[in-house]
Amino acid sequence: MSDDLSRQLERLRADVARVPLSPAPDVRRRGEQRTRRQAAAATLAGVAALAAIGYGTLDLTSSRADVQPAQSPTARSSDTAEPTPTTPTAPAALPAAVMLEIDELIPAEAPPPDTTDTTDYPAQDEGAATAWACQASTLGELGATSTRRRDYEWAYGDRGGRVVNTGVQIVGQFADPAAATAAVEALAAELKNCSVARKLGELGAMQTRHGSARTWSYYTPVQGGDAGLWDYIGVARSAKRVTVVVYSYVGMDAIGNRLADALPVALRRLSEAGPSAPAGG
Amino acid sequence: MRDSEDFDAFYHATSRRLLHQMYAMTGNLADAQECVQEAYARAWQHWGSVRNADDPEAWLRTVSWRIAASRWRKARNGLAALARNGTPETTAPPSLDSVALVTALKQIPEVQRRAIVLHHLAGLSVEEVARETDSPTGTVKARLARGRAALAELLRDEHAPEGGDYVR
Repeated sequence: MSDDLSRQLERLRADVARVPLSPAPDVRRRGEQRTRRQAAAATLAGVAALAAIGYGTLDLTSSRADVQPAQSPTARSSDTAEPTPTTPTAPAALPAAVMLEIDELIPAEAPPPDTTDTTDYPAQDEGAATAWACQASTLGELGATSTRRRDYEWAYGDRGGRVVNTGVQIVGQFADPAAATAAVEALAAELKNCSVARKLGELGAMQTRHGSARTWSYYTPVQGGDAGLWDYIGVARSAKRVTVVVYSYVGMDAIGNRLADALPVALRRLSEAGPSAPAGG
Repeated sequence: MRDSEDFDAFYHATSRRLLHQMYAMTGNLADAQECVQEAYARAWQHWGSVRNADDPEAWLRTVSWRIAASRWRKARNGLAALARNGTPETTAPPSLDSVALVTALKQIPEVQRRAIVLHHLAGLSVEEVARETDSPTGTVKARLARGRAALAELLRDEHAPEGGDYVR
């Protein structure tokens, strides 16, 4: 069997002979592109993390650095640490059930990630931070009486080809549905006027039993690199509760359909949850 | 550029041999093609050290294998593993003669398939297979024996008349 097996395996060579292989210079170019992509990804992973935290001072690209809103994100971050007129002195804590589980953000058809991580920030000040660069106002500034935040990360691959997806969810409880609706409109206007990232479009809008949800996608190119930062933003209202969900990844191509599919489902779940989601979870 | 000339020569000398081995391992020409080219792209990224490795071709084999294993893992739930790098060039379908063997190879355990390909196709000794797969030589011998037996059985079934017993 041994020699026979070797002969049979050798016959596969006839199939292989018909397969085209790229010329060596093309393979080298692919390796060089890979190096540039990894360098961009390493830089942008930091950007994504900063953006998730609240878009601190960034000087990565001229496109970002050149577009400084009148009220800079840097100032905004520090603003969140200070009490605002709309921040209550004794906010009621939001239950954990209003937060998404990481499985709800990962598209159903995606493979199981190699690593996952979630971090909760139930404290008011941290929860009041913005979720994304183009969200100029914190939910607290928009009138939320209580907020809660959770950060997500799921990643594939090893250090050489690691693909990291990050997500942020911030939930704010408002005094009444009208205040929550006004906050959603304010957030939508801020996203519409975003000059930091290129808006790709609105992915969809839906009406639900207790409110509504909208989703958008954005892209931020990086100078000198093949990769860019892709962001998917969702804003949902359920009665007097508003949720902002952002998830981001760094890459060369839009795999947005897969990412974008998960977001409306997650937002619908939150929108359908009703005004008083149970505590715990 | 001396480096690129070295790399190109290495690529021309070894790539089709590696493609042959990866085809036997993966059972899919397009997958094998993609894994091999991605492995060489990575080799070029680290060419300074790969070139000076004891066995650069073994480095390529290991990287190709890891890429293939990673792609299988990702493909399990339906992700198009080629999304980031685009689809491969169109390749000709395998010959009918190859289908039975490739199908049989895909049915045996991955560790047995790898041992068989390395030993019978790449021409590595049992000791070299053991080193490359980080396994004891006794384990490699057992994998080879079991793999060969399983393949023999599968190939015999493949050629057996439908609904009847195989007659030697």
